[in-house]
Amino acid sequence: MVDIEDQSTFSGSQAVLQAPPEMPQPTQTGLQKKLTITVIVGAFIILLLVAALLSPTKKTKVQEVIPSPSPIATPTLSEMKQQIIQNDQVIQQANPEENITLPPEVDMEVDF
Amino acid sequence: MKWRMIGLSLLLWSICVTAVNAQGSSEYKQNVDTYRDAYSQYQIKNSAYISAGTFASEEELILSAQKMLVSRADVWASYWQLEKTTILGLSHLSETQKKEWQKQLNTEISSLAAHRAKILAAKTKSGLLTEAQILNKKQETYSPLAFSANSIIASERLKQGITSLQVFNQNLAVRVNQQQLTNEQKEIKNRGLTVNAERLGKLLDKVLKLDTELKDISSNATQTSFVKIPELAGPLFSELSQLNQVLTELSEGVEW
Repeated sequence: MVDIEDQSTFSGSQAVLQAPPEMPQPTQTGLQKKLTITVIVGAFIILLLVAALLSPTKKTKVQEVIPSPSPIATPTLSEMKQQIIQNDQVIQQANPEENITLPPEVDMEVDF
Repeated sequence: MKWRMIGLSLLLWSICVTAVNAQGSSEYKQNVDTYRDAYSQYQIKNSAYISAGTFASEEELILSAQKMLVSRADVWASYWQLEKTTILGLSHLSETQKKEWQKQLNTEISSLAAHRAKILAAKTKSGLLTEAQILNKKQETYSPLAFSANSIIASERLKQGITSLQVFNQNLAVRVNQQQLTNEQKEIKNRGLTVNAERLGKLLDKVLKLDTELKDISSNATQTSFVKIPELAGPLFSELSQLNQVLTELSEGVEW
């Protein structure tokens, strides 16, 4: 057992137990700072690029090429005429008296 | 643009379906006539055999019975073919439902083709009688199936009519609002078109209820049940025709 009260036991090894002299810390904080700055700058550049791509000047150019359709398409004369014919035809087909095809009435009695 | 495309598609669709249906319908009618003639011939040959009882009359009876049974299979096959074509031509029916119907009716058509081949192979009275009885048994399931098919056709055609009028109603509204009419005239026409659109919506609800009513009947349907379809669908058809009339009146005075 070692008596920890006995200072003489440790006297020879004091130099060993002493804390090592403060070494200059590796530049970890410096690296982090650099990394943060790089990320911020990178993000800023990406934002600028996105903004440039979506800029109104570009949009206007696209709109100039492809004219936007009118909000409500007016049916043409021929289309309306076709629809009138179609309405009559489709309604005629919807007549339940006409659109039923009765199954054949066949004789079941077959005898020899 | 959307309504315009729907309108044009419906028109082209209905033209194609009408042409194909007319062909199928004519084939079915022709087969019905052939069957009736064949059955009359079979009855004559049967009477002749009963009175003569000769080998030759028996041979003739077998041949006439064979012909009659083949024509009976043909008439049913052409009937299911016609029903299948009509159902596949319904523009509002879902693809899943169409596939189900196609599968079911193809099964019946194939079964009838197999039955037909067996009749042609049978050379004796007993062989023909066995095949005749098989089809007799099968025919018991035919009325519910035919009723169900006709119910679908009746209600889907009503739905098709409603959509057609809805498209026209919408297009007319566009036309009215872009035309040189007085505000009062525009207001009157717009009010009429709004009421018509609402009535078309309500009519569609009624058709959906009709679906359920007809479905309930179909499981126990017999040949006499078919009268129920025009009885139940008739008032809805009248309403549809009336709404078409309203639209025609509303379109008067609108320059195209």
